[in-house]
Amino acid sequence: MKARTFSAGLVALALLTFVPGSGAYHILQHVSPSGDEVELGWETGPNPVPYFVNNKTPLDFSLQEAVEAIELSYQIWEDVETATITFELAGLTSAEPFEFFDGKSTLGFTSDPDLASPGVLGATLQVIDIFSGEIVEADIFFSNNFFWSVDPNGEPGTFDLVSVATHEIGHFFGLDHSHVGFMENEGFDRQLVSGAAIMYPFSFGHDNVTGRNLTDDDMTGISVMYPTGEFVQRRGRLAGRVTKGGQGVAFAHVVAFNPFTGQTIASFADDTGAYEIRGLASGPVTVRVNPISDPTSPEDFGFPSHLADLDFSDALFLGGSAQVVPSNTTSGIDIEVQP
Amino acid sequence: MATVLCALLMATAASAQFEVNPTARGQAKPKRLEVSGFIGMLSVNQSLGTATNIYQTVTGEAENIDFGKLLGFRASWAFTPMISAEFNVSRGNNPYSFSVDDDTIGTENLADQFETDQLFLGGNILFQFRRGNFVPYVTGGGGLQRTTPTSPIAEIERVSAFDINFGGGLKLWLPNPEWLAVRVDLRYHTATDGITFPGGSSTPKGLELTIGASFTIF
Repeated sequence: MKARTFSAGLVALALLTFVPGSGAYHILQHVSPSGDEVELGWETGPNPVPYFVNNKTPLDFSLQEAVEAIELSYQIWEDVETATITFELAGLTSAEPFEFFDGKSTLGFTSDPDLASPGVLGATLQVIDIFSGEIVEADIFFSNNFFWSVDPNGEPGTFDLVSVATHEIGHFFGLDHSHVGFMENEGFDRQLVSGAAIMYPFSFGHDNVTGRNLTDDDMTGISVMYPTGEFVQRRGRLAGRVTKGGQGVAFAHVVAFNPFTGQTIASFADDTGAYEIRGLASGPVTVRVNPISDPTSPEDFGFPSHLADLDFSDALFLGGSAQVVPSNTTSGIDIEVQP
Repeated sequence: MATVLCALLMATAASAQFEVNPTARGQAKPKRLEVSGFIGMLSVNQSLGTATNIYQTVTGEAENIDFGKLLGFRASWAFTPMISAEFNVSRGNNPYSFSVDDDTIGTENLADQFETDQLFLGGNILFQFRRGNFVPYVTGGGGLQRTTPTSPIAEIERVSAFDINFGGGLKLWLPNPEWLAVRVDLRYHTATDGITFPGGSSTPKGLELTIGASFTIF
């Protein structure tokens, strides 16, 4: 599904968060040397995943405030009751973010022009075992090209560190970008719609702390990767195929909405049009499909642009009831779309 | 409802002697216990409310219980030729539909999105007006209505509500066998609660039409 080449046992993957304006959850995947598609993730046990914070004082607030903001961002993910992964601040370090293969997962600010390119608020880089998909190190940087704030209410002209860190930590533990969200016009600006997933590739913009609140899509993402036993027992899957003229629609975005829980959870079809959404609460759902749309591109979700089909209209599943059953897969939820 | 319950208790305490089931042939048999089985339908008026996400608004609504999907049993005890207390139990299979108003796709109606089992358990008072073999009656009562999804729905196990009903019907006692009658019954139901989307409130209403057979036991 994703064409990536690797030359070593460990490899680094970078994920960026862009402005302006500032889901299915979508789990990072990679093709192992044996040709198997593996999902990335930490090998979690009883111990929390350790991380370090770079010891340089940020430009806009104290180091202590930065550390507290980063801890809060990890805590936001730890508070998801249906997920088991935990994190631990291991200390301060002089190591820089993106010093690869040092065995330290480091978060910090940087002015490095090679990293902090225009429009990039922050980025996450993972070092993985290419055979198993295990994440062994993940670094996060925040760009000094922007003004930052740790104020819970936001500050004019600044980006909220907790919001951006929460997004990057999603990559840190293995989530890719989500396409639950879209931009809407607000005056002369375009603004990410309220209710968009935290893992949407674009931020909510400055003066905005919406990104501190996980959506159901985000919470389902971490829970699918690191599930509690109860989550496995109570959640179900939906599967089907998106077609156009009988042919599979590559990388179509499929969204399930359960009106009883209010949960909006989505996923992508693969290059054959087949899709599966995991971690859905039981009950009837509406299922809609849409192409990857502006301002995002297939590359934002790890898909090659030349394979992604973007030429179809949004459509709804009209073939009967799409009923999610705990611990089971409801298949045959097939949707035919029109050009 | 308190009035209905009081009437039920008072009727239970009554013990006067009387003829319960006089037939057209003038026979007078003091049979007080009558049982009925019935089959029917229920027209339903119930909104589940609306639920919204960033793409669409979904409105839910109960569909009618088709004829044959409502089955039940009644047993009555006659305290006087005119007044009976009746116990009712019935079960119906209720489908629900969604109307989806999507920002880019438009509006679509999706029928039969899920189903519930509805169990009604209650008591009624019947006032019967005998005209030979014909026994028209009016009735009113209340009871428990329990709604359970046939397939699991997260955060909803079942909804229990108090249901009030009133209506009337007709029994036609056959000449032979004289212990058998056919019965048609029409009654209006309104319940205090039902399945809804989060934040919604529901007072399901409906008109129940049943046909069945009644038997006198003793």
